Amino acid sequence: MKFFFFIILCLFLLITPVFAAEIVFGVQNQKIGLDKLFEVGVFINTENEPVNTIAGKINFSSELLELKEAREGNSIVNFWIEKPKLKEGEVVFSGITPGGYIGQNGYLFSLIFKTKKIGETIITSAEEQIFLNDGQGSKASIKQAPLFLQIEENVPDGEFSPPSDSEKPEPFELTVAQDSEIFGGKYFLVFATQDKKSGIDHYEVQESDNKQPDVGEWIVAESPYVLRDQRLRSYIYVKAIDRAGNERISELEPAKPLVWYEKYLIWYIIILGIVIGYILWRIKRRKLFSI
Amino acid sequence: MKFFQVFILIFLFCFFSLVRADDYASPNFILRDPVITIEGGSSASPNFQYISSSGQTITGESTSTSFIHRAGFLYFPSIEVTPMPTCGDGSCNGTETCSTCPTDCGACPPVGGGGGGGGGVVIISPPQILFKGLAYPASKVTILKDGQVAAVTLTGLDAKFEVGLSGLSRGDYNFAIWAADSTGRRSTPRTFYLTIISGVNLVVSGIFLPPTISLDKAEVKRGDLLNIFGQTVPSVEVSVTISSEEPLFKKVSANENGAWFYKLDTSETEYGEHTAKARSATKQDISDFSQLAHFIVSASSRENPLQKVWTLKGDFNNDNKVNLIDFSIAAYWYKRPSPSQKIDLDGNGIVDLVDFSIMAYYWTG
Repeated sequence: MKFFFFIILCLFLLITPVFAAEIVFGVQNQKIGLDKLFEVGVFINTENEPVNTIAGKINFSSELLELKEAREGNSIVNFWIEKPKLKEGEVVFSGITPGGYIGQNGYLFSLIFKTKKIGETIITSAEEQIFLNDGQGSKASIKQAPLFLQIEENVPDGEFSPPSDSEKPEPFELTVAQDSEIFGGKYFLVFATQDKKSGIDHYEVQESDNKQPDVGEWIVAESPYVLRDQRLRSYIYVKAIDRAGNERISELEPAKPLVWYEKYLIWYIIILGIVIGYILWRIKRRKLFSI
Repeated sequence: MKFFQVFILIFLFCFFSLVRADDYASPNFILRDPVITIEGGSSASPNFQYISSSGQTITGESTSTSFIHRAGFLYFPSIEVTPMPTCGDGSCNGTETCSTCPTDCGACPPVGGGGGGGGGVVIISPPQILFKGLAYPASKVTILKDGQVAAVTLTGLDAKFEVGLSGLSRGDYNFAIWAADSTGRRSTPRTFYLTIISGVNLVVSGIFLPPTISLDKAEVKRGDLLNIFGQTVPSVEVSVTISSEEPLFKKVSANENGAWFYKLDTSETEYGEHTAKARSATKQDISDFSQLAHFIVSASSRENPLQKVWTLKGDFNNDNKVNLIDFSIAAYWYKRPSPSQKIDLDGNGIVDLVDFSIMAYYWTG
């Protein structure tokens, strides 16, 4: 019997937790004052193998905390399938990192909370799905690391303030594509950029006949964007705006520009020219006859 | 009671997960079932932060006046990230001269004579980040920045490439480098996570892209020859590893064009599914493994269509690229019912995260 327990003990010692990835949280201070803004960083740790797709949910107590915003500037996730956002009381997110990420404390995004009530609370990840960069879509085993927080009446530490950002978002390219699989085969526009400091707030699109974007014609849009001008005769402008209000505009010339006789302006000028010419001719003729 | 004890033992055995170690080969040795230490991590200096994903184990070098101790069971010089000499760093080095950087090199001596005019010094600022390495002769090397093509360059006949990027904001970047050989076969990418700091230029040197690999048959009759081939750096040694019950390790030399070729006698392998992969080695360095090439040893042979038409998983719009357009198509179909077969990469009837993971692996930018 003793031998049996000895074997069991040995087996337990030999069992080592094998995990490939974990989602961890970072916070400046686990004690936070009431009615204060604070930032929780969400990071990923990987072990021996790179991962390329990360998804999950972040749970928090809505009784004690209010989510003010999610920031994903400078994230290791290059393309978001679902940007971190509040959905039915929890933050959902999913995205990919082409080529894979391996390392410790890979920054995913930050959540900015405001404390509502005194008490103890936990922020934890749930339904995490992390995939290895192996071309097979193999799932990595996941370890959880929740964050414990204590909300108190008076905590001397300062409040979260957004970092100053005077840099424009990164330069980016616009691509028009068409595929029978989406949007009924209509032409659509794809674009993506990053802002390394405050993160991209939103994009605006403008399709115009003019070589310069018009001031008031911007439409808030997301990639992929179905083009209004399916004849591809317009200039396309996309404005990326970061959370600090810095803007970068990328443009794309018409894929099928109008030939000269298709432009109304040319005909207006021709007609106007003819009219002016006719009037001048009449005036000149009248003068000749009057002599 | 005995039954209970046996049950507990079996139950505990169920928790054991088999850990398989890949054998590592160098030009001189094969290390079977190595114990891998946790690698990677980040290293930082006042000038840069390098988050490493290179190497197979931690290696280190200790030096004294009389000896050098190179630690780690597989020591090879690998990727090196160094700050580039910059004007104002106190030393006159790199391409700095008295005219381009008087701060470090001092003022230029006065030139005698007179007359003349015009001209002037054109100061070309160095790129913020410079990548240097080896791919394949006269091949196209693509640099991705955060998943999008940032630069494309051509290698020389010696397979060397050097490409710089500028205009980067301060922050963390995911750089990936891949190359296509003379027949369009692609290498696996090398990925680097680097932090760009304003005023500090980085040089990433020692990049050695893995060889490309292809097979002439997808299915081969046992006993027939299977041709395994690809391209790498000219005149280097290529180690080919064939998975089998007892893995096979073969060596060939690349010719002066970097092409390599190995005829595998399949009687050395068992019936069933196998993979082949290759890595190159110079005297100083060794590459990562190539992509895996899959084949079946059976009672009949079948040609490999991939040898003729190079296909990429995730290239939904058939432009020979896996990029933001394909991502947009997949994102459109994400969790929607009845996607077409070409978008549902794992064939489970829905576009899910598995499909995105497969696409991210084959990403070309």
